[in-house]
Amino acid sequence: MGSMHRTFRRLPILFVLLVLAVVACRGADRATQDGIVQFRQAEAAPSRWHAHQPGDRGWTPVALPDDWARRWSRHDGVVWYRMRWWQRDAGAPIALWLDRVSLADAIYVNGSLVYQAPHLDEPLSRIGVSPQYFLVDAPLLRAGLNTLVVRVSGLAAYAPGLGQVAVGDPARLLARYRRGVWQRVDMHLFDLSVDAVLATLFGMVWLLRRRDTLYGWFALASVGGLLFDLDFVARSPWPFATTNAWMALHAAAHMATAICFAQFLLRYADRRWPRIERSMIALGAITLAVAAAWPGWLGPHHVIIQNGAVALMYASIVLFIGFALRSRAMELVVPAMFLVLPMVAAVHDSLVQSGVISSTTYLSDLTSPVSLVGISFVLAYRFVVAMRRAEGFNAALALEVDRSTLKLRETLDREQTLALANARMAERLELVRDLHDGFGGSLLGAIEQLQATPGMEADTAIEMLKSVRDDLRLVIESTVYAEDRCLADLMAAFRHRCCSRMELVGIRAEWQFDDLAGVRFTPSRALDVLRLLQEALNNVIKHSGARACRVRLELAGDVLQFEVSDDGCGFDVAASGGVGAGMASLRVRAARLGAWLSIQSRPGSGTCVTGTVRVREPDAMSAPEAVTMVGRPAPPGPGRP
Amino acid sequence: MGYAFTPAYRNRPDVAQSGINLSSTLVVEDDPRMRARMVRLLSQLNAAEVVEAGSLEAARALAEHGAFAVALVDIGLPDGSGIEFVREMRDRKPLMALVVISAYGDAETLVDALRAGAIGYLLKEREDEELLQALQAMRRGGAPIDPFLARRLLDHWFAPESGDPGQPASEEGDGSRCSRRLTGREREILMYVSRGFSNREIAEILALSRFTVEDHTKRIYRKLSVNSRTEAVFEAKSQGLLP
Repeated sequence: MGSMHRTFRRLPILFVLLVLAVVACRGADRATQDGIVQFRQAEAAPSRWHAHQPGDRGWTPVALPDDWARRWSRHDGVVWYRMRWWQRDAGAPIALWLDRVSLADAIYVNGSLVYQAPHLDEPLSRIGVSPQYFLVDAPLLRAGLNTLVVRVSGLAAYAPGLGQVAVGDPARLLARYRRGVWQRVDMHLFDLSVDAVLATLFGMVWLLRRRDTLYGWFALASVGGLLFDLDFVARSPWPFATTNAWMALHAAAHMATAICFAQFLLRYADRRWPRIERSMIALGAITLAVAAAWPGWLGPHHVIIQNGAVALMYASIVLFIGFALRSRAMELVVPAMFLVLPMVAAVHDSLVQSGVISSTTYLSDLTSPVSLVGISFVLAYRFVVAMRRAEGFNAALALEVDRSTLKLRETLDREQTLALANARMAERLELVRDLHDGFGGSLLGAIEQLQATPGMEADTAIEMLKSVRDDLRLVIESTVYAEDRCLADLMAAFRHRCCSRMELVGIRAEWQFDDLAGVRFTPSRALDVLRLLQEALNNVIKHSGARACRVRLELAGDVLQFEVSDDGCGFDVAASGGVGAGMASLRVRAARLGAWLSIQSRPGSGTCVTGTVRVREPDAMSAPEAVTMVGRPAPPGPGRP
Repeated sequence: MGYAFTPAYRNRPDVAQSGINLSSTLVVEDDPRMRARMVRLLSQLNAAEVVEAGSLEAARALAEHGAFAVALVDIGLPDGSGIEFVREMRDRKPLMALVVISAYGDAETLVDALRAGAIGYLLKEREDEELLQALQAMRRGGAPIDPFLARRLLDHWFAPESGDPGQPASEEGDGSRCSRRLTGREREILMYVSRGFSNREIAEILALSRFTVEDHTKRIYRKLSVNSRTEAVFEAKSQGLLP
């Protein structure tokens, strides 16, 4: 619309022709219809800022609405407008309606002041933005000819002058006044509030979520829109001292709004043009800086800025509509539809302002609520989409987690199965090794002995096989039970077996191993301990001819002490050289265990085998402890019950 | 509870109260040498009539037609488990005393056999003299038992999952339910056995006769078998197989 302004300013002849055409069409300087006098023409006379009276000369006829800058292009100050009408009857009050004044005014009827704006010189009140309405009654109102004078203070740069003026029926003019207020003030007040809310809301969203610059730009555009709307609502240029400063800010805000909105649209369409964006932001910053530094220059030239802003705004909207049409995504098409509306309104308004369309309604003032609906839809849609995405993500995540869990479980199951199979294999190998080391040895020994002794007597061979059998039993017990049973349990089975055999040959046995609960050997060591004891007991059963026998096991710290003694025939340790009967294998067992072993015996006075063995395996490198065999000076006497 | 099923032993006071009768014996054993060994041992005990079977099938046929006072049954037979035979005979020939012959003698298998109704067991690996002693004990009305088995039996009665946490019942209680539990004396004997004490030693410690000790162990087996039956009936009832 601004560009249109300028076009017409440069072509005053065309303008005048147009005005004349309009006036000719209407055919009168004032139209009287339905009790309302609408002034089409007035007399205008310029004067200085502080003049209190219009001069008698210099009255020029002008058409209303009038922009005096078209006539007196450099006149900053006051212009008086004078209008006359014939009042048939002064008995009832009449209304006085002024559509708009730029910028501050004072109103006289028949020479008397009716209204005066607070500031008639800088900082000029911004009263005239809004319509004005007054009631005039007798005696001020006279029957016959009445004169209305409007003193307008304005600046050439801001389209100074007087808009439409009418007198007449109060009810009808009040309606007009109210419509004007609603359109030009209330709507902007509404927009301003909406902008404030949007700026706060999305500013907060952006502050809490800096990544979504989209919301930041929207919040900034809303702030700009707020400043823009403030122009229609403010009644003074406060906090600025001059109208120029106010207008400079207004123009800069307009530009900033356009830039922020363009940025918002780019972000919304998911486009990034870094170079153009940087240029736009720089332009905005420079505009604001100039507005702050040289308001006296920028204010009067605000139209340039505003035209630039409008151009930028529409360019970005057209671009966005292009994006939307190309993508056909609902997310883009719907806001594009809402953006078409303000463009149509702007074109309409330009035509209205230029007089091509005769109307007093500027659609731009009315499109804001519609735009608000559009913006609300867009943001709500985005929000819902984001929520849906989050929900979908959660569902997908849950699915993925389930799938992974299943896979993991399968893997673990497989690994467990494998580990189990490996463990079983290892157990089997261990068992085989134990059998080989334990039972295999006895078997090989028996075979060797049979081979070395041709013609061995059956009884001897049977004895040998029986000892192999006993060994198998020990191997089984120590292998199967040693892991989860303590030495006491193994000893119980051992005792039970030996008891039954000793009872058969009439040996009375005394067993002492009460404090062995919890003592655990490794299976192979348990086997060797039991073998040692079995060997000693075998000697007692087979060779000693004893009547009583004592088996004692006792734990002293980490060391197990054992003793197998009998009251049998005994033998000469020195003479046998320690290789007699079962004594040799006793020594072998002891050496394997790393045990200390002592065999005390003397013919006729029993035998006592004692020793100590560590519960835990000694270090592999340490040498087996000494095995001593000494002649026993006196029989200690085996325990008798 | 199906107490009607429990009196199987009440109908056979000869088995429950006195020992086994070796007048006619069935030996079910697939290994001919082991079978010959058992026959030889039985003849040493003056068994009047000994009939041999090498398989379950043969044993079933013989048991159907003959009236044996006792059967010695190997567990590992070519056509099935001896425990199966024990279970069948318990129901069909309630008067026949069943003794299991085991090669390996692990506690689990023995408990299964006893629950199926065996009144005793013999371990093949033992010396002839020991087996003779065991058979004699059974003839007197006793039953041999070894520490691992004793421990397994204690676990059976006193494990919390058995549903009937066996606080040792006082003396022989009234009714079948109490008869399922061990008496204090029985538990005491089991404890000693599990620690490796021989029957003679236990008899000395408890100031009982050796026969009484053996009789107690036999009673323990009997309870085990009765328990397994009442458990089976209870199970059948809970599954709706019995009224």
